[in-house]
Amino acid sequence: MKIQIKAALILAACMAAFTSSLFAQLAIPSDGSDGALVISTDTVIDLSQAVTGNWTNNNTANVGKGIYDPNQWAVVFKYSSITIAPNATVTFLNHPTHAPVVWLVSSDATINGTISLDGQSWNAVTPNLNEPGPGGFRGGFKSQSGFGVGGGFGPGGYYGDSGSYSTYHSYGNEQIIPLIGGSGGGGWASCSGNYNGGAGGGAILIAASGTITFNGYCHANGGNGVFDGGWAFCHYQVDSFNGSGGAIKMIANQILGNGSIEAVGGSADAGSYPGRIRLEANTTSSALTLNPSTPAVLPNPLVIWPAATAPTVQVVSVSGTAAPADPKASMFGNGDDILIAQTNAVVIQLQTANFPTSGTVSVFIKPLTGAQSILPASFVSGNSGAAIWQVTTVLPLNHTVIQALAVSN
Amino acid sequence: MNPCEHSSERLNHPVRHSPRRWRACPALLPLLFLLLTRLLSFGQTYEAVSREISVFNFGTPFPSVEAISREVSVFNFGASFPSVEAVSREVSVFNFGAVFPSVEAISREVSVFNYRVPPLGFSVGSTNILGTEINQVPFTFLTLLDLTNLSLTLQADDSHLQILGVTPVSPEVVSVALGTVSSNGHPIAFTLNSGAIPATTHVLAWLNFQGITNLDSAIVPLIITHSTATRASGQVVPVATANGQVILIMTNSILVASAKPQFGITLYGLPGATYAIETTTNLALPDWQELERLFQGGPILPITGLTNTAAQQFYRTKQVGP
Repeated sequence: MKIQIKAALILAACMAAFTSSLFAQLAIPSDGSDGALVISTDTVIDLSQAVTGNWTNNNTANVGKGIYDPNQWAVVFKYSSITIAPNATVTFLNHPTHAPVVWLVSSDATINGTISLDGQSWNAVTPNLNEPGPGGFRGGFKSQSGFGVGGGFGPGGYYGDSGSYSTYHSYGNEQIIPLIGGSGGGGWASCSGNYNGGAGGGAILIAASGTITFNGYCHANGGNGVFDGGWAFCHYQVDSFNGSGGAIKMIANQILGNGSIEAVGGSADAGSYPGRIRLEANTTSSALTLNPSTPAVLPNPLVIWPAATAPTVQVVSVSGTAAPADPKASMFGNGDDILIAQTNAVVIQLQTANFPTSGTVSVFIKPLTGAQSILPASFVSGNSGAAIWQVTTVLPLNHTVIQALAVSN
Repeated sequence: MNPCEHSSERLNHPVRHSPRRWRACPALLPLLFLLLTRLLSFGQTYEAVSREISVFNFGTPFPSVEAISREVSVFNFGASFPSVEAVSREVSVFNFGAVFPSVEAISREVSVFNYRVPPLGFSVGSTNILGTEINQVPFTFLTLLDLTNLSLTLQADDSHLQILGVTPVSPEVVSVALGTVSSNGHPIAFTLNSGAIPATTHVLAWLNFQGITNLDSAIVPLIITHSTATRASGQVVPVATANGQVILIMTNSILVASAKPQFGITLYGLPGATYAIETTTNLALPDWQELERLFQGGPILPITGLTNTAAQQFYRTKQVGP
């Protein structure tokens, strides 16, 4: 009799634990104002259709198109639920700022299809730079008449090298906060031709209050460069370089299923560097396939966005011309963020916040065509709360992308 | 407690204290009484030996002052369970406060275009008119920038031309305002839709004007000054401009030379008139020689086939026919 009672108690405790996990809800901040995302056929989500505003705004007036929040640098969709059918693939058209994608789901997400955030690979008809997945960075430019090739863009993009993210020239963190994608591979030229570098994989956060049932395939892989070893004068010559893998992050009470999640570098025969994957759930299926492999963790504390006190760095001005608060870094189309006409050295001013003044602020100067340079910025004034730094250098003519990386000592 | 003392205190309670000898123990009184009786009755000396009485003054406590309690086992387990080991639940702490674990920050990408020629071209066209004709020239525009405003000042000789207005053409023009003329010229301000600007060279608007007849023929320059453009970001960018002109023909003809693709002269005159083309090599000692006579069928008469043999060659024209 005692044994029976004991067994019943244990069973009840197990059931209580199971049902509490089953029905528990995470406090995902989604009002569901983008409605239910139901994908049954191949679908392209145009991120440029997002209205610009605060991500917390109710989006019923622009339902299904998301909100681009410049402060978070993200296109945020607040879905009530997500259902992606098998054999259906979701891809994205980039927002002009190349911002990453955030799906906040107020209930459950069932993903049996494919979500692709791959960086663009080289192809013969690419006129400009290879586009990254949303949140990633572009590949380097191919050589043009009179100009050299360009390095890959992003913090892990280098001249004449493949882009990297979680390894090699690593940046970011395993929490993937802030959400950021992979870097582009460098462009290159050989006697066989001129080739753009593969772009970096994108970045996506899928956060559901309930359960993410994932039996599909989500990938944010780097774009391929070109390897051509068969030409008479180009034996084993790398012609352009791979983009790195991007970032995929899922948060839910439960992440179930046996799907595949992938964030790897491009597959050309050059360096190939992975991105990041992060799973946060109270219960996580062990049948999921992750590449790169990463352990799942509990969603405690639940963190969607960087804290207000998180360190930041931004380019404030170049040659006295203020940089826009929401730069696009477009070197084509609507043009660049800043226009200058200088052959002399110019001052690039930067601002850090919540960052120790004893740290190192590096400024990446990446011309569209030509080798990049990485310059250490000098501390000018301020404190760890807010500080001004600057670099003085001669900027090449034509288009150049400037990006800063601040790392404490 | 000593019962004797207790009894003594009880007896003495309401009265004055008696001497100590009267405070003998009442238990001894019978023996004392017997002894006195014997002494009083016989008045003789008798020896009496009392029975030995043992007196044991055991004082206040009991004879055995030792007390040993039963053994009691005491296990001080305090506030916790008998097992003094306690293991807390695991708590993961992610300190994302003022500084990230990696203490790293990455800026947004900012693109800079370091140019030699501003990536924004704006020009005003040229034409010719007769007398008080009304005509127009185009404002031509080329940019890839996300402009929201374009402003300029147009200088034109008000004694020859009356500026009538600006007519928008291209879809990106939200509005255009022609301000009041001042000594600097005519202020013109365009408001643009940055998202609707064609990426190719195109006519942004037309400048409408009319000739004024109280002066003779003239080449009236159209000069753009004070030109600036504003991007959607608020950044003000310079504008590369090109000027135009209006050739206003009243009575006299005007010759305009061109060098490209080859040397040539265009005669602007009165349609229906006949003009003589003359040339010389020395303006100080002019020796004008007539080259040819031409009938002006329209407002423009290109003169071709000219051959220059001298280091410098001058041409003029004069009306010789009706």
